[in-house]
Amino acid sequence: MDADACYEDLVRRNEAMLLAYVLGIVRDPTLAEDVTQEALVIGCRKYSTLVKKESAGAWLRTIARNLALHELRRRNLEMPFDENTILGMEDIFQALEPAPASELWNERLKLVEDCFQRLPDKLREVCQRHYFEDQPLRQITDLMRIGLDAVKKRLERARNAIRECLEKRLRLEDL
Amino acid sequence: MPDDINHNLNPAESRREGRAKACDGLLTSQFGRRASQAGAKALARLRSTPEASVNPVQVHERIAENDGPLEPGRDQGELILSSASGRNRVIAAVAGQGLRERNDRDLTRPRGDRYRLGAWLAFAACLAGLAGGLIYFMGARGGLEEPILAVKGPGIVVVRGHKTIAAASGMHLRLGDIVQTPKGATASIHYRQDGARVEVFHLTELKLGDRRATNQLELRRGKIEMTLVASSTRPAWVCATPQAKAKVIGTHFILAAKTAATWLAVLSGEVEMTKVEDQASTRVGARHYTVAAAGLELVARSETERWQTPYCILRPAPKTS
Repeated sequence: MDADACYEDLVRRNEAMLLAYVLGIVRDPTLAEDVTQEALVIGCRKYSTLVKKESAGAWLRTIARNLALHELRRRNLEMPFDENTILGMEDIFQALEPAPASELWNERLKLVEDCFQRLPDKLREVCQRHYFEDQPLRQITDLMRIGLDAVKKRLERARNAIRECLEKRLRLEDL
Repeated sequence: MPDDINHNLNPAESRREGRAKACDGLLTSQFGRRASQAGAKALARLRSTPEASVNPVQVHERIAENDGPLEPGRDQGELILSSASGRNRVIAAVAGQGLRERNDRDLTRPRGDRYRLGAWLAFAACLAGLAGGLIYFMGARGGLEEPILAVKGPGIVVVRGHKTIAAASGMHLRLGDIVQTPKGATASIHYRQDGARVEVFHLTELKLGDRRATNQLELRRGKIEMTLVASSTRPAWVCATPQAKAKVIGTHFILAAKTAATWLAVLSGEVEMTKVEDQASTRVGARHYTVAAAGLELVARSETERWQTPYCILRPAPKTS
């Protein structure tokens, strides 16, 4: 496989995963795009130095995480990311890594989508508005006629419910 | 968004929170379906090959969303220089502190609240003025000296007197013409007599000078890249901006004009930069850069490493016989 084809393959397999990972750190989609792009460029250029090719996903996430945290620090937006928080993120993403080599990340994400669909209506509605329709929280409070704290609480409960669902389906150990 | 994590979490709680953050990222990515240009842009960068000629210097400018006067202690603009090894250096201008460098950062997005477009526009305006003078001089000799315009992208116009003309490739420009490029469209102006070339980036307004004594251009806003050939028979090109005046001699450089600062990176040749505020001047040689702005000492700084980025491949000026 020549270099061009190798880059395309690496990008195709990892772009969606890396973007999701970086979004979990920085939350800002624009910044996440930049960091993901940079991580892919660095990863592709240094891919030949990676000994365990099967670890490419985790390796790219490490590159992306370092870039993202650096950028947050630079913007004085440092989030508390201790070693255990990073491990927790890696638990999910590692478990979602495609098992057969030919499977794509997007197919594995159907597991996450399935957990989302199982959410109670109230939680799913808030998530639908916030994550998929990009509605600001204030707008959600107006449309759903609930307070801001209630919206935030429902989003947090939704995240935790999806987390628990994934932990069961991916057989992650109890903490 | 849900509240940030509690700093007082025990390890198990921190790890659980990390898993929740992962879920947050997966949701925000809309299960991997959120439209993304990251991969396409990464591939475009990877496929670009650097110019293999004499130490090409490629400069990537970060355009600020907000621009204004330099404030002490605040960054007011940056040049980002990317090396072949993937390491990036960021040169930031801070009023009262001069130019500072940072490593390992390359962000293509502007830093909203830190940057002031005004500072950048002024810099670009200076460059534009220089470019205008050049074009004016060329036009004064008529015919062969009329610069030729080439356009890439729709919406470019040329304001000539009271008329606004839709620009087209091959169009002859005249002294006093104002070239305006919208977002996403670029143009280039070629002076056939001596091979000089001005690349006009998007969101730029460039006026060709109307004085016949010197080569002058007026960059009112935006960015241009000039490639000139040293010639002992022609006077130096001069670019004036609100902050500075740059005198150019046989050179290849990039100049970005902001409202309150002008950034200059010289790739080959030399540019003499004079700051309007205090008439301080400095000569900026090849592989050097400088910033002209209130509150900053005008000093040329050098780049010692071979830089290359996929964003901009620069070539040495062609030699004319």
